[in-house]
Amino acid sequence: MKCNLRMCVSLVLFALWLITGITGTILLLGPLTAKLGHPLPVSTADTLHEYFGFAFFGLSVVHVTLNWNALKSYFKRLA
Amino acid sequence: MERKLVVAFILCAILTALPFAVNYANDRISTSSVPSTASSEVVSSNGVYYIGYASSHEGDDILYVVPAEAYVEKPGTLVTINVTVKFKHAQPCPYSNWKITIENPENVEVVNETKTVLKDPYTAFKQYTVKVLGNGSVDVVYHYGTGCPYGTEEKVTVKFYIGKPSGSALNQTSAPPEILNTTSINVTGEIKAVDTLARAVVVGNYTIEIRGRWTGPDNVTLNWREMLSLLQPGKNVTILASEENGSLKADVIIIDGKTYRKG
Repeated sequence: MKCNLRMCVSLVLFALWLITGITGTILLLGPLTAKLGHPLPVSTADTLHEYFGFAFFGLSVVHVTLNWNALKSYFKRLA
Repeated sequence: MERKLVVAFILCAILTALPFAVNYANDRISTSSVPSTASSEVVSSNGVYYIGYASSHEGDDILYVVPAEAYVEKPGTLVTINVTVKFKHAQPCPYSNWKITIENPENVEVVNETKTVLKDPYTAFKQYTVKVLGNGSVDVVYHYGTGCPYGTEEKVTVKFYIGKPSGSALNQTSAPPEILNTTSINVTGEIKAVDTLARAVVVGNYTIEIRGRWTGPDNVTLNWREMLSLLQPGKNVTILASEENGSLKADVIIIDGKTYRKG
């Protein structure tokens, strides 16, 4: 299987997106479930969300650069 | 394109490293210290032996209490308890009704407590003064705010003894560290002079101002003049005073075995 940069970046971004989304959901629901007597691992989710979120943000810059031409054409179509 | 990609990867590395760097800097720059007293170190002050500190870290925040144990020479001696909470998240947070309390006092009477102050967004501090009536203990509890998902409470027990600590512990006696004298001091001794113009008494090397209204035994209310008239030169007194605008102001006065509190 051939693995190019675009594919690698997309796959890692996908994993980061998934983790950030799940931990964000845990952070949102944490206070409510704690009141209901079912505490979620909010502390772990908090730490993961912070670190993976910034990694996601950083890799997004690479992703945007790799797809800059396509993005430019989308903006042109808007104008 | 390659140059743009290199720049993009550098930006990516910077952004990914950002939370690590910020958290590291936060730990280094934190202005207030947690108790640095070793858990078995003995500090002697005003005839009280303060031993080590106790901490609790069940949830995300950490409760530190100095001392873990205290030895007093005789019942009725005042002991200062310093309570520090290190928050994981900066204050104010959405669950801001957290509080620090003292519970289950055994042979201990709380004579004074300061307001809880935020030393920085990550540190709260409160000081209690307790009168030790005999061998006993007290629980210091930090309650997380209602609905806080990061924990419910942190609790430590401070123990008090009449007597002196064991010989091996006494060998580690050192001068009182700053953490024991953050807001208030406990002065015991003979009244050298009373200055009615300055509304102050001199005990030892301290000049302590008497201000405002006072409540004595049986809820008797006294004004500053009446309070000052009880303090006569030559009498022995214990005064708990706090520093305010560069001068010492009395909060609690114990004279002839009677306790008078400001307010």
